[in-house]
Amino acid sequence: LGVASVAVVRSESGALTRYTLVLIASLAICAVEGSLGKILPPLAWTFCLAVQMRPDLIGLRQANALLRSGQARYLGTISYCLYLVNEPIHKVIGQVLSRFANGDGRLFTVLWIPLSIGLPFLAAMWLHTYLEAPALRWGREVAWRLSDRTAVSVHARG
Amino acid sequence: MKRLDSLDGVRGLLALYVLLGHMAPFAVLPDWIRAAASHGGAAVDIFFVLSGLVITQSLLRAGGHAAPFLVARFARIFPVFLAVFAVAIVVAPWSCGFEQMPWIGSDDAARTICVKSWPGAWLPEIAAHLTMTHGLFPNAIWPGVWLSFLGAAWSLSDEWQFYLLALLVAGQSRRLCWVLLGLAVVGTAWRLTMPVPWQFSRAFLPNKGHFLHWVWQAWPWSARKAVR
Repeated sequence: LGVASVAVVRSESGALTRYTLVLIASLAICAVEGSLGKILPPLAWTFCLAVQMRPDLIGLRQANALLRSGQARYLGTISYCLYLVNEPIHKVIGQVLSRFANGDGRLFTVLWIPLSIGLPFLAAMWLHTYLEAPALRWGREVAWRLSDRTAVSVHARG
Repeated sequence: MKRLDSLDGVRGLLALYVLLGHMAPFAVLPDWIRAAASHGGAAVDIFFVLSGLVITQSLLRAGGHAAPFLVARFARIFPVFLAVFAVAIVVAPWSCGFEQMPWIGSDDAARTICVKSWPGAWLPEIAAHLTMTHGLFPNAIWPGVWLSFLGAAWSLSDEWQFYLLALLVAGQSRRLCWVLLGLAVVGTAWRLTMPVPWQFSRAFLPNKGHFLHWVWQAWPWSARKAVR
């Protein structure tokens, strides 16, 4: 569905028809899994794509404003770090807090919610700034040099 | 081409939802909140769809050439993965503290999210993660390797299988697409007929057979138009 979305994003002719066919096929395959959780992602994705491509449509304006907000986009920027880093951090927080709360579920929850959200965020921001962003810059630079070299070699052969 | 800024926002909200989904099972919360936060798998599925879009764009930008594409994907995935994976290895044998959380039942989702374990074959399991091959083994051959050390990393194995597949399809004729569809059918038939120990996990790309199907449906025309 993501690959089919490329033509939609590029506004190629007939892209919507093809996307619809792929969406129907995807929904059919997901329906075989037999749960709402499996059918929801293709539909949710289609909604997000509509928000990206036709933000002027009624009802999509607010969703578009939310998704284009600085906060949501920054979240997107650090999303990979946040996705990976939360698990080991939760383990450390859980171990420390469970000793501190000593069986008191309410005290654990009051401390757990802000810490288990806040600390992964801080770690993700740090990882993004000092590791991910420099690595991406390096990757782009090397990829650009390699593309340039490949283009020159293809040109020479051609 | 339009900047996909609202899709950046989608990615951000999905990551936030996955974080909440990992947080909620440990807290004392009403059932409806825990249920609302329990569809992290669906969020990861949408991440995959986003990857399909972003990776195809990345491959098209690289003109279908493998080296620049792979360098860009390596720079995106590995530095952060290596740093977090190192931390995950250090904390792997640590307890999650469940013995002091009486509100967490024996079959609670929290116990599948946080696991105290140190695999016997720890060195090969680390090697499998470093080569992103940890999603390629059924339980009968290498049980649980796809989730060891860092559970969230299962999807990275899928990602790399998808990168290689996208490269193969980009460089070959349309006939290969039929081969891929055949693989998806074989993968589905395998899932329906083989006993549980021989089933592959969700970190094995053919188990996301719809991905292959989408590639088959979408890739030939999008690649031809863009590379021309």
